[in-house]
Amino acid sequence: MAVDTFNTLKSKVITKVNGRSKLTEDEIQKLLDLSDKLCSKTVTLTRCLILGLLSYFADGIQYRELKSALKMSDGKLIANLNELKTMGYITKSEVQVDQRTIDVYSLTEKGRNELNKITEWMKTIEKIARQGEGKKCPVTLTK
Amino acid sequence: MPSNIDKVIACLKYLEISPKINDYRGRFFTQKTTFLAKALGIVITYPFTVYVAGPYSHDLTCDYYANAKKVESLQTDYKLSDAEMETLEKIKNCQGIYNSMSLMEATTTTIYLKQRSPQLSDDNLFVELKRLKPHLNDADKLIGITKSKALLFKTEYLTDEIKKEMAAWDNID
Repeated sequence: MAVDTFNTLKSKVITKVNGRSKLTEDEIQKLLDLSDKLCSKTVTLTRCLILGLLSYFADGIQYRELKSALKMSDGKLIANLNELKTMGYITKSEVQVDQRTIDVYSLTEKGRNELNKITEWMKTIEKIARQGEGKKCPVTLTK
Repeated sequence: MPSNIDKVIACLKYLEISPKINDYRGRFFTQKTTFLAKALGIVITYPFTVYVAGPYSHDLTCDYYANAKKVESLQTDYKLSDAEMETLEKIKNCQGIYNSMSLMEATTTTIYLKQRSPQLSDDNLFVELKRLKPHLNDADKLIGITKSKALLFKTEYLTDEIKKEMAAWDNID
């Protein structure tokens, strides 16, 4: 009886461990597949940030507001915005604000799709990282 | 129960603002007017953020895009109460905020900050505004702080003593 219980428990543990390994393997494959589909030019901190902000502020963001929020030089910001515009992820329109012409940036449908791919990719990374959590790997570094 | 967007339309109608949803300016004033109405006491449940292009509500944006025709033609069945009309009258009488987007941004941001931290002094409000909205000029910030005080002023604060003093200033000529 005791042996039976032991075997049942053992098989349960093995299934769980195998299940986890299988899941991780699938997720890793998914991560690699998703990485292939991503545009490496977009996955930079600044560009992801711009796409994320434009997704939330769907009305569009004034250039001066982006500059204030991101606290970066005109050169760096314009270079990033121009690159995203060239890729067709964002659009620029001119708006009259208190007798001044100001550029307003908005996300395009293509940009939204790219952002969705990035978030999917990040979620997969999170899943893999979470599976590694709480299970300390007994690694010893030797010279 | 009336929907948020119906209340927003009723507010815009009362203030005689007919926004064009395809126009950035129209959306800007719809956002800020809705924020002002909510901040001054009209029950509207859209959550607002102050950062970047704030005060801004993403939920409101979704609603006015989904109801663009209704918003542009100011169609609503919602009837404003006397108290709500009184609140909107305050906004109507706050001169200049609908003529300048920067002044509107400074005023609404100040009100947001003042509600979040009521103890903030004028000097600290100015510093905080400068940090959050460095693109606004100092004059707009100062006028915005004054406008926000006028909007947040409650009639019950108007004691006989203050009334007397104000009358003295009014009759100075």
